[in-house]
Amino acid sequence: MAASEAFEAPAGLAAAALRAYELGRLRSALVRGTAAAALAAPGLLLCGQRGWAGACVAAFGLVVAAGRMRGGAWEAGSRSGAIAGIVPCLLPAAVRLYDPALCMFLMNRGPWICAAGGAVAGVVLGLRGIAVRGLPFWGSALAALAFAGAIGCFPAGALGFAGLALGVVAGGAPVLVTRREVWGSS
Amino acid sequence: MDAGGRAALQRDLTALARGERSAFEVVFVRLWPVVRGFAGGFLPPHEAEDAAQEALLKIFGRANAFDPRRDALSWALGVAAWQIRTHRTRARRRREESLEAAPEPPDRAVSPEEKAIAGERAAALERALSQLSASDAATLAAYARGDRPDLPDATFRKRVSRALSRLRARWRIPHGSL
Repeated sequence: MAASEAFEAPAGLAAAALRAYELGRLRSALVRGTAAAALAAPGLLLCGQRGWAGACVAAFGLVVAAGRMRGGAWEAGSRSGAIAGIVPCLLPAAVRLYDPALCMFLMNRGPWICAAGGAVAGVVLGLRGIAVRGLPFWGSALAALAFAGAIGCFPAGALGFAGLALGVVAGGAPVLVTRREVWGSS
Repeated sequence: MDAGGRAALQRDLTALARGERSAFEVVFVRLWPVVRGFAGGFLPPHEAEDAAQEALLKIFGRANAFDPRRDALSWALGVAAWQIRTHRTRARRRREESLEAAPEPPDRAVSPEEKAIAGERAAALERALSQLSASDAATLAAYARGDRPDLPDATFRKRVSRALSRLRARWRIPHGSL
């Protein structure tokens, strides 16, 4: 007699185990989402526009938590997006911390600071997404990146968002194209 | 669990940790008999079933935190061992609490029932003694008090022995035995 036959699982145990698994994932997702929001919070505190920026912090935490809850490519995407997005999120805050006048000067002179942060984020995302295709990864990655990046670019307004988007494309596309060619030929 | 099953568990638990729900069923089917048998090695059968269920729920509750670099079976049994230990501690505490909560043993004073029986026996003995001759009754009364009449020891012992024999004979008639 096989061990599995000798120990037949009681009725309802599988359902309880599945519930325990989902609860475990939910707890972990809440912790990770909260941690992500806490990590992005300095961007909210240091660069103004707190209403919208606050909503973006919450949305950022939610995307990370939802990715963790769903798992698989969604989780990998949201994690990559969060790592990439933390640079444009915190770069303006770091500049402001260093010199508040410099922060306002850079914001008023155009979206360069957002574009620079976006470019770094694009490179990071490009490197992490070389071997990945499909909506789950890229959808969750871009959502996390957009919310995190937006937190830092609110003071620059619409131009800041445009700069962020251009920076991401400019930084990420070459990396993706180059590395995929190498990946494909090897 | 053989090497193949162990490798399959490693693969499936890794998938489950990454969020692939499709791996749940196979992990459950693989783990339940292992955890049940493991618990059975440490606990009596009626407790092993409960502890194994608790351990399995704990394993699935933590499955999302499983590190694929670790050995899946060792990890699962580690979680189960901890849960079994918790179960044993809880059971021991329950036993201790129930002992503390148990009522004090009854007073060793004689119960009314025992008193009634003793009273009946005393009355029966008195009746039997009253049916003996005066000399037998006096001999037994002296023997019971520890008095020694002015007689040689051997003679007194003989009289006591005969008086007891006659008392037993009287006692047997209504009571069967002494």
